[in-house]
Amino acid sequence: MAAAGPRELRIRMYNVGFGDCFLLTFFYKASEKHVLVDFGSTAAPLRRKAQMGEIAADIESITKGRLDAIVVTHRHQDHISGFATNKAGNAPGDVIARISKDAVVIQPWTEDPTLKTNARAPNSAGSSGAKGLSALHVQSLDAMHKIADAVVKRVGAMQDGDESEEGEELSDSAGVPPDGQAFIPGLGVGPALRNRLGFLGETNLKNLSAVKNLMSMSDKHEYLSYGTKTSLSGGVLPGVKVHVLGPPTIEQYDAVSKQRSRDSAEFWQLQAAATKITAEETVERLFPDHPSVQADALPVSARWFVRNVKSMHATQLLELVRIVDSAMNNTSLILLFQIGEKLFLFPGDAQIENWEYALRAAPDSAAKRKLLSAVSLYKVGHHGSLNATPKSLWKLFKKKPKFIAMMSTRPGKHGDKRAHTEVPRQTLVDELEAHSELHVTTTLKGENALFEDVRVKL
Amino acid sequence: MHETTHALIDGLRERYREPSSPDQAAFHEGFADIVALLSVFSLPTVVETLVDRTHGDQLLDTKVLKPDALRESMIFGLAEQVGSELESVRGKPLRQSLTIKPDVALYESREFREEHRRGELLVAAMMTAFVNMWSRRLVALVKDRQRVDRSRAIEEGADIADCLLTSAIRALDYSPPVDITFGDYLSALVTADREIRPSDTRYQLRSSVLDAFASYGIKPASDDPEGYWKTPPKALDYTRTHFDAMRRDHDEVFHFVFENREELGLHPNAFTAIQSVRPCTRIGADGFALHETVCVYVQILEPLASELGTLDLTKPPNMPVDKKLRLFGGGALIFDEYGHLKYHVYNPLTSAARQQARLDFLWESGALRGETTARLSVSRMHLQRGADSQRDPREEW
Repeated sequence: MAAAGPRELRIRMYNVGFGDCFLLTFFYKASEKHVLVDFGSTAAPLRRKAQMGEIAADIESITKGRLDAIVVTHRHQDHISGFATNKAGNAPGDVIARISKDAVVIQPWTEDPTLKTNARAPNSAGSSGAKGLSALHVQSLDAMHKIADAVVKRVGAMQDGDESEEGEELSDSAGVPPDGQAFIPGLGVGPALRNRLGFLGETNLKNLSAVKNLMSMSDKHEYLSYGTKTSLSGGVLPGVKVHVLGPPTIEQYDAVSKQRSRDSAEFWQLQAAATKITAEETVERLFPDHPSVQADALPVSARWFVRNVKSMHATQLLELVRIVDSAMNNTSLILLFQIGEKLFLFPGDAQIENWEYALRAAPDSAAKRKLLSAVSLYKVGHHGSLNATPKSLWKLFKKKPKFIAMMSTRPGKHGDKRAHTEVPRQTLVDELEAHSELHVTTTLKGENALFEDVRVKL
Repeated sequence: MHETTHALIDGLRERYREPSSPDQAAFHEGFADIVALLSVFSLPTVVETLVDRTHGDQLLDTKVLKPDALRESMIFGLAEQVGSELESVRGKPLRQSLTIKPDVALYESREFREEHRRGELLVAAMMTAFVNMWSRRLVALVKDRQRVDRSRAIEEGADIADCLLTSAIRALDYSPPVDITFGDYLSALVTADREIRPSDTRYQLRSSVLDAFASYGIKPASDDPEGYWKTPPKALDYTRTHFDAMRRDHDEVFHFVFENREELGLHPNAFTAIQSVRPCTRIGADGFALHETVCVYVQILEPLASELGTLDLTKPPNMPVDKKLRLFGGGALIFDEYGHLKYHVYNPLTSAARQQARLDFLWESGALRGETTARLSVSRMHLQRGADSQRDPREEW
């Protein structure tokens, strides 16, 4: 076994800005195997615009035109946008498709296209079976994309200069739409809130091009959930064991937490419908006989009220998009690569709800905890956000000498420092710096700024 | 009903939206659900659909009147009543509360530390009390060993719901104005109930409520054997205040509080304010009227984290020394019709154990980390409840 295993593992962390892209190269005696974990960005570094293309080119040259596996932890833009293609066929996604003909594409169970065809309307009878619950969950995810889409459209419908300061705005672009155009009411909020809404919204948009590309680039697909076997383990990667620690399926999760997936599916359908109406359709007047004024000519007595209602509405939307963001993060694949005694943990953006199953609820969680305590390299979850490295997980790690942490992130994009929700979260960074050899994309400088390598002898 | 109740609590106890124990945040939501549920069940027509929906015989089988059967049909009945439109937003959490089976470990359990889940626990305890009281009353009505008269069963159910609802609401007046716990509320409820209905032989409401709460691990805050609030010290000074004015005038009540600050256990230096003075008349079931004046005072102290030692408190680990904190204390003074203090329900600012627990919890849960005061937002809580979104602050950085 040991003889057949890899002798060295190189983890190349690309600088994608706010996003993840890791290329794992396993060096065997006479060959190399390449696994790409995520390829996406929502805020490319300012340095160069063609960054994603350069990264794709680098991956192509390193792998000599052959990727063995692609792991797509979850469907967020900052993890899949690099897989998008264009008509000219020269987008980064086209490059990846070209070198992935034989690659296994590994995704969480929520991406399984056969689930969708089984999907029924949430209210219809008979959808409570095993497949039914999963299908409902997939439908919820779709509804979440719709909400994000509506939010982004509304943020986009506002023109710059609509408002000067947060909460100080009175003018209104949400008046009469130009002839023939759909009426999209702006949100009426200040730039700070608008930026956060826009960023979270865009992260949660559906990237159809990338999704299609991932579906068609290879014939080999795996949709994994907690405890399932993958062909990476021993097959594609001889001498390497791959444990799937998340996400649990709805059925697994339901068994322990009595979550009501059916209800929450309905909730998302309802929310999606509600957001859609206000964003896309011509709004019918609720009380047609009541006197009304144009939005740009509000009577002086109503302005305070209208401003407050708008600000409350925007805050609620932000809260909703935040929940959407968390729900999607929690569909993340959590993979643990085991080579001999060395363990490499790639949890995507999983948050506590996803981790909860492996750490506490699963029947074999004790064994999993033991395994996790010996982790030697940790890809920091969700770019270092406050809730994607559960404290109970962090406490599990024994952090033996040479404990390595790798974090791909970009400050100032996500969260708010004053509210202590900034990404990366400073208290976590301090802890990582104190107890690990920390590699961060933001500290990359100079010529080698496209990536950083970490090599581990096995 | 639920939303209105939020507004009413906010009017009566404005400090319940301050960051405090997990109980206080949960109380807002749980109490709103209790009022919504019990008001629905105090309508005889609704109760009729609960006991059985066949609308058949005048005599009901005793089977449908066992506590578990009643609970089941309430769950079903709710789904129908709430309707499909609101189902996922309101119906689900309500039903979820009814499905929580009694277990003394739940109150301290990890699952129920989160505020909206914890609120469901309060609802569960209250509805268990309702179902048990109802079921017990029906046993006495059984004819020919198997069946019960339908109209009497319905009448009893609606009446019990009404009675419980009244006491549940009156209990607010008997609750401390800051940092409420479920135990405080339980003591307040039994005390309020005894004041207006001294004899409880008919429904055994107080013992039923105490038993039901105990079955979920919730004990009364008062150490009285029956959970009642204790009477205040007798040696209070009334000589410098005028009771007639104290029924309306904040300043007059402030005088009273100030003159008796030591006896009432107030902090000598904290900012003190009278929050409300409310004369009230409560009418009992027998027509007997109870006149009371309910006055609420609040004390606030804003120490820096470094000064916690002077208050016999320990700074939570990693809290910056220059962190500005806000501690609350306060009480409800209930005067009888002769102007004498009948009850003093209070959570003193000087209680080190309670302040320490509150600080530790808030610091651990991250509520104190931001610059902003993390006051409870009802709409945010509703949204998270609907989306089934749960977070565990102790896992966050």
